[in-house]
Amino acid sequence: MQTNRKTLLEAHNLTKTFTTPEGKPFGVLEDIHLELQEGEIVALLGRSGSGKSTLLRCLSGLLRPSAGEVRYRGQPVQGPMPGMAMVFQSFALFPWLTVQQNVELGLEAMGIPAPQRRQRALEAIDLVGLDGFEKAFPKELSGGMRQRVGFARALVTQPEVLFMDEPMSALDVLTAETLRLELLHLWQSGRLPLKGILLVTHNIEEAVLLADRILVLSSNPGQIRAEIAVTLGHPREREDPAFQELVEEIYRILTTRPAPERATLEPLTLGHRLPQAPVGALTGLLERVAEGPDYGKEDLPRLAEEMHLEVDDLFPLLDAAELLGLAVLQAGDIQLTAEGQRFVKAGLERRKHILAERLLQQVPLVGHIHRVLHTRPTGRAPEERFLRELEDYMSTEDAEKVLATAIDWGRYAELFEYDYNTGLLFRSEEAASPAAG
Amino acid sequence: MLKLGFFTALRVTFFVLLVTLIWLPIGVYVGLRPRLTQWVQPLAQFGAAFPANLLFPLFVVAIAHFRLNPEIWVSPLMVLGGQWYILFNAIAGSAAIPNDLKEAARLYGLRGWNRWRRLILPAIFPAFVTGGITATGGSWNASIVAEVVQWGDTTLVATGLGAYIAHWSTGEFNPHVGLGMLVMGLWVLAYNRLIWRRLYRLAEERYRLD
Repeated sequence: MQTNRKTLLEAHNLTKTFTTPEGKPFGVLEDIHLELQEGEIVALLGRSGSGKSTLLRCLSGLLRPSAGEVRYRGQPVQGPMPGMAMVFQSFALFPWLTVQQNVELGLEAMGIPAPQRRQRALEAIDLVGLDGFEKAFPKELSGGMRQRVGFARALVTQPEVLFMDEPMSALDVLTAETLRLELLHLWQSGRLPLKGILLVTHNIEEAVLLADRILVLSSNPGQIRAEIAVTLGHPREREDPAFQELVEEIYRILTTRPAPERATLEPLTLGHRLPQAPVGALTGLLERVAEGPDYGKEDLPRLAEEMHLEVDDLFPLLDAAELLGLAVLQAGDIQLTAEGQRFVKAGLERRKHILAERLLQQVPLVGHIHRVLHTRPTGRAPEERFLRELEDYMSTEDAEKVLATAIDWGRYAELFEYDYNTGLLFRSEEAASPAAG
Repeated sequence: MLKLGFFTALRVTFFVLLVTLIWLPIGVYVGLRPRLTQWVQPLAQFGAAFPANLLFPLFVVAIAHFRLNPEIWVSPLMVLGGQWYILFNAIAGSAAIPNDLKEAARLYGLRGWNRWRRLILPAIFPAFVTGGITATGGSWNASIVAEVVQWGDTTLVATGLGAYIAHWSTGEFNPHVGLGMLVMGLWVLAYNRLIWRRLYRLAEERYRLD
């Protein structure tokens, strides 16, 4: 046996492909290699679209990879295995069961007799600080307390590997921080048989706070782009310069694209996954960068903290700014381009005009919609039509998001109008189309 | 008259329960498979829209041929139309079970009866109540045409409030019809208050997914 005794979980050449409604495959994860060793907390960090939740599901046996394999203690994983437990972003508590019944769920399935079940559940509930709430139903509890139930339900089965899928992202900042510290405390106390934790997060600081190793994923398809060892001792302080340096480094990695992904300068395709960036938020971000102390240049960690944006919120805005040629990202900084500067200084009408110009030039989908509406005598088209076209490139769910973004941008720029109730897109009458002059 | 209503209530209850036992598992099987749901759901809706009394003659011929007791065997006619509501609510309910709950159930090893008891039945309970109310309502209604059925020379009659109303519905005004309707109305009201309303409240309070 060449199996390393200390390796808990490993994935080799893991690839996951889904198919669009049209039957075309699209890659979500590509050629992932990773290992979870005993005694480790590993964080999977990535932007939306990096497939990090899909990866967690493949590792836990909830999803079968399209290619490659996952092994748990050397055994191939073909479905959820005893010794694994998961904490969900949405808590995933059964609303018709009490706290105690929820916690007993896994034990019941294991066939453990009722008295022992009860005993162990009460201990687990006690461990997460929920004693007194055994008979409560989930809806009576706050988000933080619900997630405690989620932890109790996971820990009561005495797992070796704990999967956590953005466990704190549905909680308020203070509750999340408390739970993080308690989790860390439990982990370090050695009171649990737990041997390793895999944490999916889009919160960079959370990753640096908890993990021994951080794997940074790139997007579409998700690949492991970088591995960062966090050697800081506990407790880790956010104010610690070493902590901040790590956060900076991760921002740098996330903003520095590997050569093939550096697609922004090349023309995009119709099926480009437009980042979900509402125009209002985008404008706010650009204004903030322009007003900043460095005048048109800003450090991303500082920006994220000031604007209370996590990776999933911040990066779509950055992507959009870059895609429209209003800013460039470099080494963890954002810098406005000349066009971006002009945009920020302009009044509302002028801004719409600039945006319209950028959209027609840079975003094929918006240009396509605009063209279709202008060639049709009626000047209108159902959104369904464009949705079907996008489904050649991506899943229905993604297609809807991308189209919604394109419509949001195009409406703001007065390139076309949209009626939500009928789902019809209209040619914008009075808008002076910049392409036409 | 109340006694006649009791017989009809008995038939409605028994046969709605029976079709539930048949269609609920099938509905869940379908509802948990999105591709299949796309195919079956329209069929169930078509079944509900199809005029069930067109099929009554088939039953009459069969019952007469095998000399079956009409007291029992005309009853299936009452749920012929209503059963589809049970089916498509079971499909809709199980198709709407949140993915994270299904994942949690899988991850924690819920299988077989445990999975039904802890996840599926509670999750589809509100949809079942909706289907049950519709199906029983429809069955009460259908009892008027189902407890007395005729095809050619054969007339089958079962004891019940539906048969009573049908018997006096001769086309002319008749106080018996009014009385029969009134009693049926009271029965339906009492039935819904005593059974469905409680279940509905339970579904709202305990089994709602939000």
